[in-house]
Amino acid sequence: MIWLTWRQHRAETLVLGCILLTAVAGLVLVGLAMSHTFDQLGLGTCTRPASGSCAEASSSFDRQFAPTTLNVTVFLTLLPGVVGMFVGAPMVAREVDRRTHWLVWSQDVSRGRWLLVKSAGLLLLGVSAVGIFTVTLTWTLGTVFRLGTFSRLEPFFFDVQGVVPVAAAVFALTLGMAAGTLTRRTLPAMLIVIVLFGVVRFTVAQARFHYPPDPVTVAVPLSAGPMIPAGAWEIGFPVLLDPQANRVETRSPCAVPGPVQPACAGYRFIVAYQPADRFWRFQAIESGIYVVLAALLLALTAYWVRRLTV
Amino acid sequence: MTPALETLRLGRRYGRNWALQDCSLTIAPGHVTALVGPNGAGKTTLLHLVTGFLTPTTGVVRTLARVGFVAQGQPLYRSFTVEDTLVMGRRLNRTWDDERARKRLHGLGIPLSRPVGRLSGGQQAQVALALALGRRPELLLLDEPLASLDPLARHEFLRTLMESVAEEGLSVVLSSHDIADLARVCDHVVILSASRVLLGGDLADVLRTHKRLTGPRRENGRIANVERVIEARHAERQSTLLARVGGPILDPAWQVEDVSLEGLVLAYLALPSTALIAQRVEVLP
Repeated sequence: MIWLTWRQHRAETLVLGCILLTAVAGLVLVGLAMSHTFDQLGLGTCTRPASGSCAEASSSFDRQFAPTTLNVTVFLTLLPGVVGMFVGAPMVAREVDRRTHWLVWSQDVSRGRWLLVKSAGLLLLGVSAVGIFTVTLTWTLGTVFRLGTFSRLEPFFFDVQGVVPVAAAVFALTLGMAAGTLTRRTLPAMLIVIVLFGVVRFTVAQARFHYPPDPVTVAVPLSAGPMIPAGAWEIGFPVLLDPQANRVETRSPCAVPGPVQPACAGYRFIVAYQPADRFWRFQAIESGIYVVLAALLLALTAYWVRRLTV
Repeated sequence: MTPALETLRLGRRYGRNWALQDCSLTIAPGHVTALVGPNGAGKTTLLHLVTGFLTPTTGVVRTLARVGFVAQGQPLYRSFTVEDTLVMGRRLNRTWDDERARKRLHGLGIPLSRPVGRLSGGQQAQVALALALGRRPELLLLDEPLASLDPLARHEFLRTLMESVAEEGLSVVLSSHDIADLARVCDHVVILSASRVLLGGDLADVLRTHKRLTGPRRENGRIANVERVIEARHAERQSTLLARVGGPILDPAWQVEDVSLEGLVLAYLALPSTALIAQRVEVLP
């Protein structure tokens, strides 16, 4: 059965392998270029908030690498969905499309065992592909976070690091398997996967704002340097309060950055943020959501496969 | 003798529609049984109930035998080579006769290195058959094995099948909506229509007990030894009946002829649905 799984999917494995190899090579080159430019611009000695030559160097670094970084993170955000479409959805649907499920289920292998080995093999394939890409990207983005201006918890960056991409791939694959078993047609199943995967990822990303524990809320005087610690994820916008704790509208002269005017004495910002050290806790929560969804979808797939009669 | 296949009041319902009902059959080992009926009669449902793909709504299926199955259209993995297909057979089955499967395909001149998708329809059917036979089944079920084949390929397919029957003594049930193909190879017949079994039994017995009678026009009244009139056609002065008979027709007014299997099947399938009364069917030697 393991041989059959390999024989049926070796073409996909090779294609995925080639794409991955190219992508990893590209990421390594980008990473090396980033770290070289970082050192060349002397960004390692800068402090936050950047000012003067440091600010210039920082924005020069951004100009050079922001488009690549954005493209790569968007690619990895979508990769699990694509794997779910092309690897998960056809697992049962293509067999039924071509009637080969009657071929394989009339050998001495039970449907349960068939499903177990096939789904395990495909999950392994998807997890390895997304995992390798994630590890490489995490290394590449390391330089970006040395700047301290970005947080690993921010949307997009959070989505492409740690274990969340892998958990999302597991979810997308099982979503594909379930959709393929329910519709028994490959194309509709692929469509369902990409739409539902998009909806669920978006919803989960919205829920991330409410993961426990609650954000840390601090009052920061106007004269203070950076409002939040390095690597923290700012939630919402800072609120400006006057000395009597009344909300001040953002167009107030006191809200303008720069030297603090005497009239603004006693004013302060209220800022909410999630500290950088909650990264793994949030990763665990979000991966947990995907894994629970995946387990449900796998159970549904098993139920529907057992009941498949056409 | 333990039957190769026995069903008792077997039925399967989808929603409110019965795909098969009240089907009682006994098939002794070593026979080739033709399962005949129009599309939608319940042939595939019956075969899927026997393989265990479907669970019955009513009744039971009993097969003591190791069951092999070739689904409609002889599905195979088209990107696999013939060799891959045989490796699959070896790896997925507890019992597998590799040597015989290879010898069989070699004898037919089918190259093992070629992808299945690039074989002719007839060769694909042979590969599907070799895969099913490689499992050493004691009962082999074939769903519409001839539907997609040209006459020459049908002949070759049936020849391979009959050789295996002769060599290994396996029992075969094969379905078809066209009886003409199967008349040469089967020794038992089961006729299904609208989810019910109309007739089943030893082919020779069935043909012996059905006669075509031609005589003076007569729409009513009994004829000695006629048990049931299956089909009646009345011309102006003459009636032609296809009837099941319990003994010789001695009335000299009737001219008695044998019927072909094809004519018999057509007559049964033309019966009005109200006449479809389930009967216990024995397909024993």
